[in-house]
Amino acid sequence: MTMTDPIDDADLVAQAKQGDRAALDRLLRLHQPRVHLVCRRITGNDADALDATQEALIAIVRGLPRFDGRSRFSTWAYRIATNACLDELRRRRRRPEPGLDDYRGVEPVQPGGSPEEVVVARVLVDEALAALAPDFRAAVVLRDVCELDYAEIAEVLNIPAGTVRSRIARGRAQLADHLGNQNDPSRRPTTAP
Amino acid sequence: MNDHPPPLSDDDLSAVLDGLADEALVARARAEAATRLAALATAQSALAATTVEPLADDVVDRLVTTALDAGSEAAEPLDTPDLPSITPVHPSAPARSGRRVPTWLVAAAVVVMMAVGVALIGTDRHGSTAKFETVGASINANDPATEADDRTAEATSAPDGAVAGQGAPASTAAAEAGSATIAVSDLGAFEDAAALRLALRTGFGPGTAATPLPSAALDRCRQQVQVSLSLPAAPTRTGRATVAGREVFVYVFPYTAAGPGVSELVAGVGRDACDPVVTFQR
Repeated sequence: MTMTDPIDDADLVAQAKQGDRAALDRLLRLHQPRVHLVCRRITGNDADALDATQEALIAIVRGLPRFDGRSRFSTWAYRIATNACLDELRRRRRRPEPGLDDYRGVEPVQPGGSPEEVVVARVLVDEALAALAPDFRAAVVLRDVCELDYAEIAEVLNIPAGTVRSRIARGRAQLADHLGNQNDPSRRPTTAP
Repeated sequence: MNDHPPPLSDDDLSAVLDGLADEALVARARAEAATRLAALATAQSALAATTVEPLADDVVDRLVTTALDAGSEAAEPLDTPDLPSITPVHPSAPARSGRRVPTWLVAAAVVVMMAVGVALIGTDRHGSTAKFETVGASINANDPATEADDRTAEATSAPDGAVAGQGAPASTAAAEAGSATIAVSDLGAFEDAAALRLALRTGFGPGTAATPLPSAALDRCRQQVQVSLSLPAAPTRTGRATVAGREVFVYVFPYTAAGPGVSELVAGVGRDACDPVVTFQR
């Protein structure tokens, strides 16, 4: 996804920390799309994503005076957003999920499909993501949606890089299985003698 | 002797997808696990390709305005130790349609909690509150994991969910917006992490004052520390320090080291992102 220029971020952060409300407004608007994106993908639905996005933005505003600049602002923002999402998931009561049976067996589509196909693909991906443990989901989303590298994900999730690699691999594997892309389980390399 | 290399795992294939594998591994993956590699690649591309609808402009305006206003309303009360250790749910927390706690319920819960607290004080049911150097009362954030902290704090807990259980936010933002608080030891201010580490080498710092902090924020970082460091036991002590002007949560966990006896593991993490500041065993 499109990243804001770190230099712009640094300037805006400096101005915002000095009390420039316009700079803070600009900073939030620059990063709101990616905060919402990660929240939507991790929480799995629009309402919780909106709540988590709001809480993340508030946390950014309140935490900004203590942001020391040792990491990129975007990484810090991702970390706050991810924490807000995981908090939201912990808080969320099990609610009835919309029925998805009608979509089972439909292959995910690549970009350029019809509007109907795009909607179906979105629902399928949501369902597959929802089936992942939150920790795996966060790692996969940060890698494949937000395009962070392993080191950045390790920083965001506060886990070792090796754990990042493992969570991404296991998350992708479960996604693949859930999406029905595995043609022949017997040919999985991990089951070979 | 086994001349066959171990079969490729999903970890290996995922590394191939991310460009982190060497040429030999890439070649093996293509030759031996092309089907599985394609399946993983399809899942990866499906996730990357499906879009998330951007929020409408008016929604973004509301989100940003609310965040800015909430920030300007923040009075940074954490440095004022005279605050009461029970803080009612703030009515101006971020909009959470359909899940707000009714005002009458909050008021009723506070009254009940005060009554329970007075009764417990009168009977001296819990004895000293200084056992773990963590004092004060807490209101559960409706998370079973917080129970350990509550026991640690020897705190008087409210009926679960009476105040915070129905939508009271427990995240970084919402916690500061006015959820339950817990009083922890104020360890003081330090120039850098090394100074904090030095102060905590043998004791729990010079500070003894109790500072009320959002229990949800404390619990969030505590959970991350426990997961990151694979610590099954709840912290025996919890404190708060300032390191180079930055607020840090400090936890002391029982820790079994190599050899006989049980030692302690001290972990200090930044309040906002729960990122490690100091971690050592003593």
